[in-house]
Amino acid sequence: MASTLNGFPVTLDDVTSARDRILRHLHYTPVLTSSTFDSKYGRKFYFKAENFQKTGSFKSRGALNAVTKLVEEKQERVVGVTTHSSGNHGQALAWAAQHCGLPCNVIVPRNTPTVKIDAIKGYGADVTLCEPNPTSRAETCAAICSEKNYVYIPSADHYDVMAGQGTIALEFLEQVPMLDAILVAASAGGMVSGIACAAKQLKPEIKIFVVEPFGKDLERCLREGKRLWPEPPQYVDTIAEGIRIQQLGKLAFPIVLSLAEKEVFTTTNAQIVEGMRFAFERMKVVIEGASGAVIAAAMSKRLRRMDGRLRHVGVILCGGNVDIDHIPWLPTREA
Amino acid sequence: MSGRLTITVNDILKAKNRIHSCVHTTPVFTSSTFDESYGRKFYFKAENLQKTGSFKARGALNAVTVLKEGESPPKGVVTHSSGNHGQALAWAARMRGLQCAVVAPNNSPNVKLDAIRGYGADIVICDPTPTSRQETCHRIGRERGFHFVPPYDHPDVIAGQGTLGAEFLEQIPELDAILVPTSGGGMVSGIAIAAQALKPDLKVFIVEPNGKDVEKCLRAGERLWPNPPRFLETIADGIRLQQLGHVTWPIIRELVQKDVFSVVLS
Repeated sequence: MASTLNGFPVTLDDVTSARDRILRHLHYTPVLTSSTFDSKYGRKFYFKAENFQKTGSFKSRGALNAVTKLVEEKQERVVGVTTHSSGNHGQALAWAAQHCGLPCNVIVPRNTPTVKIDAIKGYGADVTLCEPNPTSRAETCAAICSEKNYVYIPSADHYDVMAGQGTIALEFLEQVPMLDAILVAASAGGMVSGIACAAKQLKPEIKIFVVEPFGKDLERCLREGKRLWPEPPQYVDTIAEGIRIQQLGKLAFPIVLSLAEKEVFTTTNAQIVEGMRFAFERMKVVIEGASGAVIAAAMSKRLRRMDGRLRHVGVILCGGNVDIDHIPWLPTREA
Repeated sequence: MSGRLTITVNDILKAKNRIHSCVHTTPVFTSSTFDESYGRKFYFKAENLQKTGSFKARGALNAVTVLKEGESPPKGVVTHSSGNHGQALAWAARMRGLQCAVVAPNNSPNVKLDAIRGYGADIVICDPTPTSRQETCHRIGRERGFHFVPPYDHPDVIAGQGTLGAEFLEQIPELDAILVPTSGGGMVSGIAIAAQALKPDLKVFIVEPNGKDVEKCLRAGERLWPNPPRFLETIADGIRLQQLGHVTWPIIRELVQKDVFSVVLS
């Protein structure tokens, strides 16, 4: 293990405790296979269907673990939770908070599509609008924290959130013990950190490969062992809205540096669409862009050229929250 | 029990043994949102995730396997359907090492024909009339020594579809009712036979496109549909047949609920 990491910041115990906290409130998602895909791409692929998870993405695992643990530890002193996210984490936190009987306030940029705002409100959370830039999001969130005395639950850079996401790996290795590798998309890196920590402790020889949108440049950072991204934090231009954050989080980076493979699969918008189309048409599942990116990585020439001993490859379908009136290959349907 | 072939739950269990290793035991999905909106607990049996993309793989594979294991297996199988049954039969034939021909009308969408060819079957084009379909099918059967496997009116196909019902009851023993979309009636017949043996209280309900008029027929106890057989106007292209089949009709008349859910789908 690289010197940046001292042991596993998220232990197997953290992940199994997370599982005990959250499992009965969440789905033990199925693993799908496609013989067509296997014949075409020359390995056995296993698709972990987190698009079927509560709230439509894996984010509910981390959110529920973090909120439940907070309530266990602090009890009546927690009056509410907050975060800034227009996406899956916002919905997941709203759902988790409702589940635990806590108020929740989600800060969303004012240009967020109504369908996403409605989804968050649908779980009973309050929505506060802010300007569409990282600074405004952070500042507005901080203001809510101090005004209402709510606890901030970030979408990725938090060990309890990572431990929740790590439960994906516990399940996956139970369902497919012969997995040689897992392909997983990364934005701020909460899921890949949790999965890497859990999987490597259960099966040290397993390889964790990160999938990114073009423009994240993660491979360079991993090979040099340094955060090479520009400041202030930027968004990557990609149709996969769940993986637009360019930088890995501060807690996530050393984990990924230490536990993930240096080869990062980079995906363009066209490849992401191809991955999505395969899932919709051949597998009959609805997935969002980030999941399409991981399928694209599985389809890639780069993977094709890799070690033939990676016979059993896991593909994380992280979410299925698409706006069905805005599917990339169909004309936009006006409501 | 008058007038119907005796297809029993034992046929379904035999079908399960034949097809089990090749088809998916499909998951059952739930949605707490749906349950809250509609006031009951609903369980969605996901046959959209089945091999070939529909439940038809079950019946087709059972029928083909029976032929293959018979005393004089045919060289291949033939059917007329450019839809799910055509794909399912093509796949099933390939699984058992038999040839397959699918007779399709000349106005079939290419994407469907490609899907069938993708499973290795031969497409034979005919005119878009029921007569031409049947005649072409018989001709291919004679010329090539292929056995005709119909999409629903066949005991092995019905027993294959019945495995769906048996599986569902294993997964959700507390089911009180099953809603089944119906065209020729192969699937609802199979499910009803399974349910009668495994959970006699369970109610099987047909769901039909508006215009099929099954409820009227069931209450009268008679096939009231006009001849020759017609297609209904509906976007649900898998359930366009107006008439139930002749093998399926007596099973449905005996075992399925008289209340039919009629949905406007045009």
